[in-house]
Amino acid sequence: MDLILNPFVTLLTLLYTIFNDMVLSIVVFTVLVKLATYPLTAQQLKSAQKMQQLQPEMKKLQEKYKGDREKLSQEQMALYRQHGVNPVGGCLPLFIQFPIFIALYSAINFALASTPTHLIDLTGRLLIPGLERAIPLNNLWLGLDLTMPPNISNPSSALVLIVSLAMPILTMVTTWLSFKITAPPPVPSEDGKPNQAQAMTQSMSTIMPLMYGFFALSFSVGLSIYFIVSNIAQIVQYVLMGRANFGNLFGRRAQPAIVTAPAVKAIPANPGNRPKPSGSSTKPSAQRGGHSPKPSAKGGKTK
Amino acid sequence: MSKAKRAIQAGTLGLLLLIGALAACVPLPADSNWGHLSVLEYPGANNVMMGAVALPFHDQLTLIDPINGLAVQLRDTQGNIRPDEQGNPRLWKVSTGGRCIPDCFYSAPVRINDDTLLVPGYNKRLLEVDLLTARLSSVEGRAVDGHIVGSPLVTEDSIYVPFSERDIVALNRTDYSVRWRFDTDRGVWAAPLLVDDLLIVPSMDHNLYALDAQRGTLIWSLNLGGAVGGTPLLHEGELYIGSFAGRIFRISLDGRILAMFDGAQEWIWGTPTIADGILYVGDTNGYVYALAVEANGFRRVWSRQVGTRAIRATPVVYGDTLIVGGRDRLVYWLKRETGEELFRREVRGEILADMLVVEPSETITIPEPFILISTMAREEALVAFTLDDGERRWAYGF
Repeated sequence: MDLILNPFVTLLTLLYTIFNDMVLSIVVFTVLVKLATYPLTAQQLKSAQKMQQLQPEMKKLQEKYKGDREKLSQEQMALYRQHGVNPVGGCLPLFIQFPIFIALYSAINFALASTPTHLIDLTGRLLIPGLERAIPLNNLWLGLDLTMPPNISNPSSALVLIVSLAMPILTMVTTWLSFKITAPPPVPSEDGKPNQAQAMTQSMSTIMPLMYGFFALSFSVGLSIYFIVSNIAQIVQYVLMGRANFGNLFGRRAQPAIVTAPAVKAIPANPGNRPKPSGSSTKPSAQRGGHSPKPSAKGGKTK
Repeated sequence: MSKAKRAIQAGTLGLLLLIGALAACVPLPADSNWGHLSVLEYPGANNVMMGAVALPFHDQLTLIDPINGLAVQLRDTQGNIRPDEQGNPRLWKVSTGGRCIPDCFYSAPVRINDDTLLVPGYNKRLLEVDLLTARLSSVEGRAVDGHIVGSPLVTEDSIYVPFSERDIVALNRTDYSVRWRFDTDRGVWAAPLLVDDLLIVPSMDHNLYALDAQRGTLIWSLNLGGAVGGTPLLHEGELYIGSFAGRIFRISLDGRILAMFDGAQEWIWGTPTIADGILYVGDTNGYVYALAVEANGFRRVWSRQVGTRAIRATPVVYGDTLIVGGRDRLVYWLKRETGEELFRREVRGEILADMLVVEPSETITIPEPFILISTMAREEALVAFTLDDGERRWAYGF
């Protein structure tokens, strides 16, 4: 873990020597981490989109192979292969985030070193000679120790209480916003229920803000700053890429990605006319022509 | 419950488990302290004064008898043992009741009068302990403005208390009112040093300050290029101190740098020691330096990597031997002339607090001098070795 931790500690300390402010250093550090992990984010986005597009096909397969799980699994994998989709490709960037923020949590504690024991643990971790001259870094920000959790139970001033309350709240709000804005628009399935991936996203958009809020309360204030900046950076990234879905905030649903219209056989007003080919439209011809639909001679129904 | 829901729940649980597993793999800074030892006199059997060692560890303060390494038994004013409710002898132990999580003590307790021991806490408290009854005057103690890492300095009329965040204050010894306060940028992590009316204050803001001890006004300051985490050594009217920039300085009392050694591998944190014109100090990379103090500067006599981890504690000179304790849980006996290792002894915990030499005296009836080493291990918080051959005499644990 030192392979990740020591460069992080060094980078944080280096940024501190440039900006002379730990919060600004964490902000810049977070943006740099976001830039460095951009290829992973792009891959995650691409993978999520492809998965979204394949959902109707997947649904069909599920219905087709309802009783044969093995065959279903084979067909699903074949479908993924056919479209060049890695089913776990979307999760990988998410998993990479966790070691990064855990290492950052550690790096903040080591670099800011609020106690003598922490400070002595910093020795040998700075990879650039001369950085030790910046030690110890200033760990106080608006009356809070950046290495400690927010001080809600025993605040020394009103400002400390306000900032202590604001950190977990901002963490939760930005996490929720980030999930909502960066999630693909929900595509209703035939039965009108959300598909499995959407259900997962919906569930995560509730669980993750709560979980991150809990982290913000339990871990250092410095880590909360990382969460908040990271979420904002994520939103900005998606906005710049033109992939932000602000509609998700207001519960708007997108049109299905692939429209699978049921077989429709229009009943001609004039029995001598040929029926329209099925699948060309979801609207029954009766609506277009202003005539009431009637059952066809072959038993087909308009829906 | 649908399969999809079950899958979601399993996935979420898996994610949380993964986070937990990753968090468990990441090293976090250790949360343990290294309180410094101090020697006190305590009325023993027949009211004969005996020497005792005050051991601050985690959230407890214990008085240890250096003869046998056991906790001192409490006695009344007639010198009789005080029994507890079960009739057993009461021991001299003070607990803060877990009021100082994660750390409690980095400094040594100091005696402020015949009956009272002042115990500075890292939890922004000054605890007063009745020496005879081992009782806290108040469980909460006196609240102060900052964390205390460096030991306070007690004079006839003042108590100088350094705070690790920013400042040092001079408190009135009788009522603890603030006489003056001096701000630094990054706080004071070591005990100040009083030389006549000059209070020498090492600061983590890279400066060494000299203040008027009575008024707290600045006389001079020197930037030493890195944090100054140790108390300067006063020797023949000159100051010797190292900094986190890996430098060691010789400084006059009027604030001039007389010599500088710029060749240390890592941070110099502890206070140096001097014997026969040779200065000895360790660094946080495990190196020990022996520097001859000469008219035109320092001359390196020898330097070598003794330990594999930091050496913060001040080395101890005993005859031709130099004794060094490190974070690698080893105590080294070195040949003072060359730095060659004579032998080493292992202890269970890291050594960061200064070691204490206890000589035989009227109040401490030990057959030969001991070196007492406090470690960060609960089961071996204090260990006694004989100074000359490193024979382990006893160990005290919690």
